[in-house]
Amino acid sequence: MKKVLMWEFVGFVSLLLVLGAFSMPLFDDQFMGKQENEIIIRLNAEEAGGFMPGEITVKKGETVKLVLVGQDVTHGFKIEGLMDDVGTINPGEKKIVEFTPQESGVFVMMCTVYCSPNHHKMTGTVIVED
Amino acid sequence: MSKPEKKDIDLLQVKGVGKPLKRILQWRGFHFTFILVNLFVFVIVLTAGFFGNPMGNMNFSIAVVWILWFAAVEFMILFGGRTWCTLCPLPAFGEWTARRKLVGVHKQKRWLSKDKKWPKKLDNMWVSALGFLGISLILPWLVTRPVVTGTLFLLLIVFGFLFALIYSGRFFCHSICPASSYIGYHSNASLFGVRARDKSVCEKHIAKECIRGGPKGYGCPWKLYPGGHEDNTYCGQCYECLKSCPMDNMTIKLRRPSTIVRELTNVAVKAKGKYDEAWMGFTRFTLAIFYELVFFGPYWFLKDWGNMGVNFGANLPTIGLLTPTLGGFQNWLMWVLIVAGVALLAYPAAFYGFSWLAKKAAKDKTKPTKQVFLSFSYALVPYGLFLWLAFAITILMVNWAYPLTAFSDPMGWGWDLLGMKFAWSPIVPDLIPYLQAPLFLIGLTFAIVVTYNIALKLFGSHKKAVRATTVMTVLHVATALIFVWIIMG
Repeated sequence: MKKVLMWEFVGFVSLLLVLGAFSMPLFDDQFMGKQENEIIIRLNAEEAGGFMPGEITVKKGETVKLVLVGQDVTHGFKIEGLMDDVGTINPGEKKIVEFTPQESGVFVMMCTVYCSPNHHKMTGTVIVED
Repeated sequence: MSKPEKKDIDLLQVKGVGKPLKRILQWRGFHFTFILVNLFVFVIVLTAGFFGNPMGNMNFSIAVVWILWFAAVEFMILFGGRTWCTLCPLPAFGEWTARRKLVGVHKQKRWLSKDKKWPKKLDNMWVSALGFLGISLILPWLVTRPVVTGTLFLLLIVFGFLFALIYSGRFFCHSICPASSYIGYHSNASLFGVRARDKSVCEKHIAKECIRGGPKGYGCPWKLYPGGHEDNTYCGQCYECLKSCPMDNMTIKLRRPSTIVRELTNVAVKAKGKYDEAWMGFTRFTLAIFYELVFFGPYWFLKDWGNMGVNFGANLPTIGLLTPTLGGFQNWLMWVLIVAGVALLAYPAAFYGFSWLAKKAAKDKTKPTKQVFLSFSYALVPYGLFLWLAFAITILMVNWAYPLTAFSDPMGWGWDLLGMKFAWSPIVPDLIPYLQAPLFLIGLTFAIVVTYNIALKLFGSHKKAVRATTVMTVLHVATALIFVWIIMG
């Protein structure tokens, strides 16, 4: 009887561990190997969410690494007044760019490749704090 | 035992393999362990389906289910019958809850279920066959939109759970699951089969633990009499009979092609009123051609019609993107009429016509045409399976990179957990038709041989059987030519 119960217990614990895989998305930062001063931005067509996140905050004078991950179609990326066009980012491609903002303020990040009918709306905000 | 049965290989008595395999199959943790591993994959399918990348090719739920699983199941059928049903996690929650056990065997009559008997009207594969057709009607959505795949599997697990709480045993798997019945139907052409070593032992054994259950195993959850198995249609290969049989009389047979033909012929000749199985055959057969067209065909407008005018991928947060346009919906209705019309009416009508002609050619007046029609439809068991194998080879060779990459990046978020990122690069695409051609030639040959054997049993003479088979061969060759024309683009 004890042996039977032990197997049921082992089974139950294993089942809970397997169901724990539902929490997989919570480990995004670890799975992406995110470093300090690194910001991951995922690029989706505007209809599918656009820039994720759509707003980032950085510090003036501090170098920031942007990890741009193409999600669905080919996109481009630039931050008006802070960073030139980085070129195309294909679906599944990861492009890492660095920049050091020299002035504070609010800037606009945008897609530079016609990516969907709502391409012109694919913008986000970069806040540079003192 | 009759002579031909002796020729089959009793897998559990093969030196070096039989004993350890038997020990594994009789271990109560076997089923649970395999389901658990599969459940892990399934949890990832649901998570990625609802929250992962909206693009199908970058999402685990699409890449693994509709490329890897879809193709693997066809090969599993050929080599392992309903092996997928052994591993399937969909009914597991219901079964565990009803039994109140994850691993062991509870005492009889302690089900956490209403334990109702199955409705007789549903004791067939109609719901399942129409379910398979139904999901095929939204195929372009299903195989490219993660949220649609996630929703389908969530619904299946919920229904599997609810059915287990109402009905006794695997009623959901037996009659409802849209994959189960086609797997079972084609398993009749499988090399694999769970059978009694000696049926007379089972006949004489009164306790029949394989039906009622015993201290080591449950009674057959599919409500079969395992000792009397002569076909694979509804055997879910859960191996409870192997565990419960105190006579050590249940085993796994590796069937020779001659046994497959003989057993399939017996099923076909006895098939009175089994229109559900006939229509399962017609549906699967014609859908193999449609799937080939949608996945690889040059007719872009078919995909557009199936897409209801929607161009976007979607996960749960972006599900609104799947709102169809009015024109797109109208086109989709046209697609539904064509696909369902061919599968449910046109091809069966052609098959009936040819069956009538075959009966005329055989100059037989004893058998009603509908019996000839029903029996001959079982030629589609191997024929359909080999057409699907041809499709499976294509999908694997063209799209192999997506599922492998998805294991490394299940959510399609840019992860690389296993160091496997592959660009889409089909393997020798020019040679694929030359790999497919032998497969459906084998299927065609199998269909002709099975038709001849059925005709021989129905009409009782070689001459009549040859005449009837010749007529049916015209239809089978014509459909093979259509398939060749499609794969050649």
